Amino acid sequence: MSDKKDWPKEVEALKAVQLAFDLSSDIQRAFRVAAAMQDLNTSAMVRKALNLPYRRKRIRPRITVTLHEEDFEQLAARYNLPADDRAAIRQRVAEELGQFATAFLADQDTPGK
Amino acid sequence: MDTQSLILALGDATHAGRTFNVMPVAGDDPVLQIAVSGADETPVYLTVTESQILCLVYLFEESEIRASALPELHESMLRISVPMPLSALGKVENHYVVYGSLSPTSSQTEVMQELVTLADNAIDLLQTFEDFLE
Repeated sequence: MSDKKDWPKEVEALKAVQLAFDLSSDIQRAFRVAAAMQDLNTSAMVRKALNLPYRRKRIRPRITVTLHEEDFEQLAARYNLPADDRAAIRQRVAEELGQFATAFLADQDTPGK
Repeated sequence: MDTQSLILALGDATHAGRTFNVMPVAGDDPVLQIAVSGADETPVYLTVTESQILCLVYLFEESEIRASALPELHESMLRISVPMPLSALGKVENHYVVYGSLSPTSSQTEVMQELVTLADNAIDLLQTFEDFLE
């Protein structure tokens, strides 16, 4: 392979593309996170970062989860509840989501994070 | 053909009803990220060397593949790669990619044809290989 005089340059080009892809991925992730934190969609976030006019779409902060039969069974086993006690399972789901949000927001507020 | 002239040429161009959103990616070597209208989810990365214009779309990472499906996926990739128009499948580090390369003396129309075909092929491939992924 090293006998091919032009190939090392092609390998370098491929590395440059890989670096570009990694950088783009990091930038996209940063904009998705920043947009979510500011209740914006990603394209509005990009426009905001560039000081261009953007439309703030009203995003309803609503969390929904559709639970299927097998989900109830799995959750019932984890919560040690009867699978048919759906009200109790939903209550525990709501508590668990609340705990996740509290821990996540506390983590975000910690200096240095 | 170099990346600067491609930025200028593709910015205003239309090919088969498709337009191109070109963004240079910061770095030592010039690389363009090109989103083809109608296939925005599979951006094409393009770089130009003395030997070729290399166009490449990232499909998925190795870690996304179901371990038991890996041999069958590789077999399927090798078989699909031959009839697939203008593109071939490959691997860069831990990423599976679809790519096409052209002569550096290719015309703008040929580059646009490659970009449109590659971006569309990438969407088809992602659907084809969906069952092999986690």
